[in-house]
Amino acid sequence: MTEWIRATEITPLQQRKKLKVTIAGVDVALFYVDGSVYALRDICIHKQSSLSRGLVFKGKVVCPGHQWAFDLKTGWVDQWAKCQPVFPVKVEDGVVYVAPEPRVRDVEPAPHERFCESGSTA
Amino acid sequence: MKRQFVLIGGGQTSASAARTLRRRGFDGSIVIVGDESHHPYQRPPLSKEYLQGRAAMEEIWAAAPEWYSQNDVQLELGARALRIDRANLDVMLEGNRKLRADAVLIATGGTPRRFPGAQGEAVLYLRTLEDAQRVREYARPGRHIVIIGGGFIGSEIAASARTLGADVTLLEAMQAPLERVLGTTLGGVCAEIHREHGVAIRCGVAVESITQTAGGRVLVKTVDGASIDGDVAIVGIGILPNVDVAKATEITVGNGIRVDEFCRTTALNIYAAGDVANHYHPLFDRRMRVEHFDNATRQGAAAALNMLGDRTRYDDPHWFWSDQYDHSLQYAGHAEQWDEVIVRGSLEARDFVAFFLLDGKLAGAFALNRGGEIMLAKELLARRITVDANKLRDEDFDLSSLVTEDVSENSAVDGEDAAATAGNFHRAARSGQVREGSVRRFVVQGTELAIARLNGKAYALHNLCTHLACHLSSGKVENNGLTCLCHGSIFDLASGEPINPPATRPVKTYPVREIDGHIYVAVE
Repeated sequence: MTEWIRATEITPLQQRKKLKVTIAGVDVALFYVDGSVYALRDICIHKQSSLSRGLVFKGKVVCPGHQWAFDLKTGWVDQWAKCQPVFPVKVEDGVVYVAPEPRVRDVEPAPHERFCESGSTA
Repeated sequence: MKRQFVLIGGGQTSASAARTLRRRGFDGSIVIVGDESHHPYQRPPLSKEYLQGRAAMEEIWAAAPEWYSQNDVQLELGARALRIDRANLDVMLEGNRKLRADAVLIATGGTPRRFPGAQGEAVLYLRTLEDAQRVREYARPGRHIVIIGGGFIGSEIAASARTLGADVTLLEAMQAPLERVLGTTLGGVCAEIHREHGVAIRCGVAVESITQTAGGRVLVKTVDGASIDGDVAIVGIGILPNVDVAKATEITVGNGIRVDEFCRTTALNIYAAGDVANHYHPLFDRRMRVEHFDNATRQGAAAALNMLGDRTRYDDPHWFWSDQYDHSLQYAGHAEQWDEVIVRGSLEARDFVAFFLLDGKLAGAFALNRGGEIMLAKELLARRITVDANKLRDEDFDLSSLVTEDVSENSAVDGEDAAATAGNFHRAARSGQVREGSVRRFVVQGTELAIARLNGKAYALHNLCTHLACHLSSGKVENNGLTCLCHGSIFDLASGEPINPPATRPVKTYPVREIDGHIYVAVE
C-alpha cells in the first residue's frame, strides 16, 4: 500500500505554480503545469541548488544553478542522461498528496513517458 | 571495412562527440587521441570543487571510464597527433604510428598563455588535473597566493583559495575583474565580492615581472613600482588555441581553427570544435572562439552529427557559469561590445540580471544569483526576440511570458462557445493575458499573431513585421500604432497600414471578437 502524505492544499500551488514542501524530512519541489501537479526532489542531483527556485520551460524544470533541465514527469535530464528523483503525487478534494518513495530511473525513459512528448508544450 | 572516426583531443569535446555518435547509433570505430594520460575529464571543477577538495576525481570524468569499453570507444591516451594526411585522412601520431579515418574531429583545446620571462616551480598555471593538484598544495592557511589576471580562471582560483583559508592577492590590469566581459560597473560588483571575502585585489595595474626568489618564493613587480612577495604566483591570462595539428595539415587557422556553422574546417571531412574552434555563428553573424564547457559539449555533439552526414547548424547562443564563494554567476550570449546595459534587480543585493544591448538588440546577459532568468535570456537570444528595455527592467513584467506565451490549439479544447466560434473564429487568448497598452504573441491554427490592446479594444495582427520579419509581439503599443522595435516601423492597429517607415507594406490584420473573458480571432 502506498503511503500518501498530505503536502499542501492545491490553491497556493495553483497560484504560485511551484512550491517547496517537506515530505518525511525530504524537501520536495511541487510544480503545477497545465492543470497537473508534479513532484521532484528539491535538491538538484548535480550541485545542491534548489529546483523550486527554477523555472518551468517546455515541460522541464530548469535548475537555476547550472541549467540542467529535468523532465517534469520522469526527472530525466537528457544532456547528462541522469535522473532527478520524482515522487508519486495525487490530488484529492483540493489537497495534494505525495508518496515518500521517490523513483530514480537509470535508463532513459521512453518518449511517451516524458512530459514533453506526451504533454502539450513540446 | 567499418567506418572509423578519429577524435583528436582528450577532453570534454571529444567525449561529447563520442557519446553523440553512439547515441545516434554509429556502429563504426571511434578512436579518441589524447595527449594527457587520463580519461577525458571536465575542467570546470579544477578551479572550483576539485580544487577545494569537494569533488573527487571520479566525480569529474566526462564519462565514466567503463563507458568507453562498454561502448567500444578506443582511447589512445598519452599519444600526440602530429598531422592529418589530407588525401586519405590518415592521422599521424608521434612514434611513427598512424590511424586511418573516414572523418576526423580536431578538439585539441588550448594552452595557458605564459607570462614572458616567468620561470620556476612557484609560477603556476591552471589547465590540467596536475596543475590543479599543484595549486592545491598552496591553497591553505598560512600561504600567500598571488594571482595574475582577474578573468574567470583567476577569479575562481581566488574564491577557492580564500575559501580554503589562503591569503590571496589578485592583480588585474584592467579597471575591474572580468571587465572585458562585464564592463567596469558589473566587474566592480565582482571586485567588491572578492574584497569582502578578504582578497587583496588591485585593478588597473599591469604586472611587469614575476621572479622566483631564493627559497622557492615569488616576487611579483607591477609597473607602478609595487613588489608583492608570495609563496606562489598563479597566472591566468588566457589560453592560446592548440593549432599545431591544423597548421601541419595546412588547414586555415587564425585565432583558432576556422570552421563554419557546421563545424567544418577548410579540409574535407575534417571538423573542429571546442576551445580550439573559431566558428562562424549564425545568430551573431560573426566569428567567435569560445572557451567554455557548455560550448565544448554542444559543439562537440554538433560536429559528431555532421560527421555522420547531418547538416546540423551550430547556433547555440552560448552559456557559461562561474561559481564563486556562495554566488552563482552565469552568462548567456556573446556581447563583444554593447551600447546599453539594462539591470533588472539590484546590484547591491547581488540579485540581478544585466542585459547587454547593441543597437537595441539583446547581445548577452549576465546574472548574479538569477539562473532562471539567464535561461530566459538564452531563449530570447536563440529566437532573436527584441524586447523593450523597459520590460527588461520592470521586475513586475514576467519575462517568461515572452518565450512561453504560446496558447497552442489544445488549450482551447475545454469547451468553446459555439456562437463565439462561428464564422471561423478561434479562441486565441484569455482577455487578461493581453493587458491595456501591451502586445503578446499567440499562435492560432498555426498562424502566429501579435495581439494588442489599446483603449480597451483588442487587435490581432500577423506577428511578422513586413520590413524584416521581426516579431511585432516584441514591440510597443502607442499612439494608435504598434511599433516594431527592430527598426521603428509603426503599423496602424486596425488596418495594419504602415504609418511610419521603414516598412512600406501593410501587415495582415484579423477580425477579433471578445466574449466572456476570451479573445477570439478569425484566421483562415
